[in-house]
Amino acid sequence: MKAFVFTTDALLALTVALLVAMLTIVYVASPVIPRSLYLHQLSADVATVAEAQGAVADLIDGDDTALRTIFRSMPPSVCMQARLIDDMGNETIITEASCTTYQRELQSLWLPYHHNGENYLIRWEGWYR
Amino acid sequence: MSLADKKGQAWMSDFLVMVILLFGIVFLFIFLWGQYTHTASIRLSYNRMWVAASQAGDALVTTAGFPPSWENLDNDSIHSIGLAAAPNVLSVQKLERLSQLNQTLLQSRLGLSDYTVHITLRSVNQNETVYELGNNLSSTLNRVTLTRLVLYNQSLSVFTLEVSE
Repeated sequence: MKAFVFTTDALLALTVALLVAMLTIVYVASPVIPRSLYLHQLSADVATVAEAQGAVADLIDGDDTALRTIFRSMPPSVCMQARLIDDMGNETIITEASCTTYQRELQSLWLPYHHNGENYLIRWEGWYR
Repeated sequence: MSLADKKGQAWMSDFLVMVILLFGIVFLFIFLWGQYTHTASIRLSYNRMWVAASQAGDALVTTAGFPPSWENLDNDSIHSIGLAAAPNVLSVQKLERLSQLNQTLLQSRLGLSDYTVHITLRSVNQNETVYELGNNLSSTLNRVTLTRLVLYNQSLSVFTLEVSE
């Protein structure tokens, strides 16, 4: 009986070792879609288009309509937020209406902006729902 | 039965059980490993397509292509395709020239030779498709769809690149 217990024990250990090895490989080596690259591209798109369309200037002047239209044109799976900071440190935050909190894979882009003799910083943030 | 015989029988039973279980475990492991490599292979293939589509889409909307005035050249002189007059501002002339390229050349110059490509451009203000190239891939399950924001004719538009194997 001693021998039986010993080999069964060893077999159980082998099973556990194999499963752990396999789970480790599956967990570590599973290919993951590099979606953060796309999120970064979309954030850059919004920054470029918003500036070219004058949506940033409008936002500084208190009108966020154009910026919200740009946000609504994004893919449904992506949320965008603009954080405008003036040289006094005051912040104006515009977030796409249906997005509340950060979920996954945040990408951000800081850009300086000059308007009517004043300096601003804009932080563009994009994340997946 | 002597004590020595009993010990021998216990060892043999143990050995047989162990061998059967061992084979079972090894076969299970091989089966699971096969399942994993199959799934990983499909995902890797999808990831490759995703990265290729992402790079091609970025080249299309943020670069002018090479040579930059490729829209005025014959097919053999085109090395890479970009549609931008400026980053995220699409050129009407380049889009018109793009329509004249055959699918093989288009896919090759976008680095998407192994895939089928479908391009659309939708005006946000008019809410209608203003440009379309290639066969619709909406019925294809294994496809990558990437959308980018651009300006076309000074109007906010959504550029969509669909890629399928």
